[in-house]
Amino acid sequence: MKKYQQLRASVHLPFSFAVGATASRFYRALRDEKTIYGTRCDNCQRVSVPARSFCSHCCKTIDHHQTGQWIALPEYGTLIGWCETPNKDGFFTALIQLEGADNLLLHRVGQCDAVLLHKGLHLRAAWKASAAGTITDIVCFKPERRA
Amino acid sequence: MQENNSEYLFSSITMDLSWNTDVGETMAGFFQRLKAERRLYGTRCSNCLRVYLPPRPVCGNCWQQMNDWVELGEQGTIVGKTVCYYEILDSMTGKPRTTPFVLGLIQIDGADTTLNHFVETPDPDHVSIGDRVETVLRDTLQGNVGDIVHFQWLGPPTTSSQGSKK
Repeated sequence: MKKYQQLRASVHLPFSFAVGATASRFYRALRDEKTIYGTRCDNCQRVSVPARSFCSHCCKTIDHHQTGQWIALPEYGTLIGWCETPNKDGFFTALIQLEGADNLLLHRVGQCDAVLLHKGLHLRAAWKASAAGTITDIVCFKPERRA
Repeated sequence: MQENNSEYLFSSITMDLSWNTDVGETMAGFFQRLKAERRLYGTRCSNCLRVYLPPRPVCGNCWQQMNDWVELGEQGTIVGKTVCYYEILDSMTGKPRTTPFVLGLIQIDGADTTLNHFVETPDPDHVSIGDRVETVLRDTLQGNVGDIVHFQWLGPPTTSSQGSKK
């Protein structure tokens, strides 16, 4: 097959977006308290993590000014699913069931041997030393021997 | 937890995207001639004699395949222009281009179609349709779109510059 000339091109796209009132409060708590917050729906009592401004099950608004609906969740849970990423950086994208939450948290699992990963593995959050108020304040979830 | 903290956070991400494009046989011919001769070439339709720059493989009027390459002039005429005050990503560098800058539709001498490119000028507000421009190529040609740096604004047409029109 005839090989035609190729052009190589690249662009850098910097952007920044306001995460909004609810996520701002969630990230502030990660940064200032090292605590993962979920929100409880008054209607169906489900706890979603990360905190949301509405319930995805019954579409009811969750007012972020009502502290009662914000639930501090433990920083540990179990591994439900994971997959490799193209980054080859030793981290796996993972779905994690935090204790007390009714949905799965999408984060990553790592700092361990990949062959150890299995469904139901007990995990604990590994925090970054300098928190910046982003989801990466938690470096990853790391396997932990159950106490 | 503080309840009425109103500090709102932002999430900042920079995406680095790179890709390869196959330019096709016609554009490859254009870039090879540009690199070898420091000249712009267009393709000519053998039926209607229209000269296309950028070159196209098929004439848009006659649907005729074009195999004739025509050497074009170093200068051209602005047939359309706009002064941009909004920062855009420069497709040559991938970084924002400083404003204001002029984008022009340029008809190179000898061509029947126009090129869309940057017009370099000390005074963007005084660029007019009909003004003459000169092709500025980079010193070391690489055989790609970045070889044409911009078109240097020369000013309104004079008798001598119109005389050089093919």
